[in-house]
Amino acid sequence: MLCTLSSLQDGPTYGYDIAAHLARAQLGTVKGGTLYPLLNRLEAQGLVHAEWRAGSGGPGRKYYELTVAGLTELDRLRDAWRQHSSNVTDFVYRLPHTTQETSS
Amino acid sequence: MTKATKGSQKFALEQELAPNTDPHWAEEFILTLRLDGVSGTHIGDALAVVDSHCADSAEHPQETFGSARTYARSLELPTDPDQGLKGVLTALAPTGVQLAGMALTLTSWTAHLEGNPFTLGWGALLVSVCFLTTVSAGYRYLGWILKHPWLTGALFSLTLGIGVVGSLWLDARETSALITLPALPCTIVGVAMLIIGTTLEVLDARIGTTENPIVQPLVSAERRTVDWRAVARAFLVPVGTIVLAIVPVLMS
Repeated sequence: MLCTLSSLQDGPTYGYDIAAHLARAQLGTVKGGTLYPLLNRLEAQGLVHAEWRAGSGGPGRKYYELTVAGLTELDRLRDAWRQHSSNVTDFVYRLPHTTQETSS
Repeated sequence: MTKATKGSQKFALEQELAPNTDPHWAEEFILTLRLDGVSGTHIGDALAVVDSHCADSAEHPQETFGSARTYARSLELPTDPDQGLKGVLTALAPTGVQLAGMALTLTSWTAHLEGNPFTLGWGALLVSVCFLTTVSAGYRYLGWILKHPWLTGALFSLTLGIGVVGSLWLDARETSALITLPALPCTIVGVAMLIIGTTLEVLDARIGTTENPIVQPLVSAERRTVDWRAVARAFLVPVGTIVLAIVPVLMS
């Protein structure tokens, strides 16, 4: 959810571009079966706004854009992630030292 | 007609709505959402998303979206009250009025020609109850029916068979008459029901009051045209009634 919202911070874009963006950032392959139900939920929660735009030489595309509520949620999730990743980093790198201290 | 032509006709809707998507997958996707009571607008939107993604990724929908049924349910699309049982009954009401009018017209007209009053027996009531029960159950369990067409056919035949045999047994008894009324006024009421039912059918076919078409995004709903075949179908019951009403006159 954080990565999906984050991929929209540069402006409105469509589902396939979001998946490609995440893949380019080496965050793994996100299948359509996972991505669009999430985008639907974000839209239902008012975190993103969706609108169809005509495609050039192909089918139209549904563009998703962060709403004000979505931006607020993105900031909250970033802070939570920063804290979480900091906790994990501290734990993973201090574990041997802590273990030694405990055993000594 | 070639096999390819038959196939393209069968999937004409899917190919029109989602030309970049496997039509078998699209068919199951549409069917699942229809049976779940999702509106045509939401189905069109969700299918267009799949089609757009498949066009961009050049992937098969099964590969990126998985099973059509599972994906359709995972979207958690809102259901449309008009697609529920009440909506179905509203949609079927004009045909129901037509068929009831046809039955009343023909039976009372025949009685009038024979110089008898119109009699509604317990047998006719039993057949009507069996028919209505079967049709109502059919719409309630449409998903199950589509999966078990042969068993459904057998159950439908059994129910109607019980109704017909029961009605014959009841009609053979002298005490089977439920209501006895003057024949000609009943014919007039039957004809009035036919006219009302047909008018409602024609109005529905022309302005689409009960249908819920799948609407593609970026396509104006104003493109909707009158379904002339539906208008013609609305006249099947009254024309059939007239033909069947003339037969006993010609035979007498």
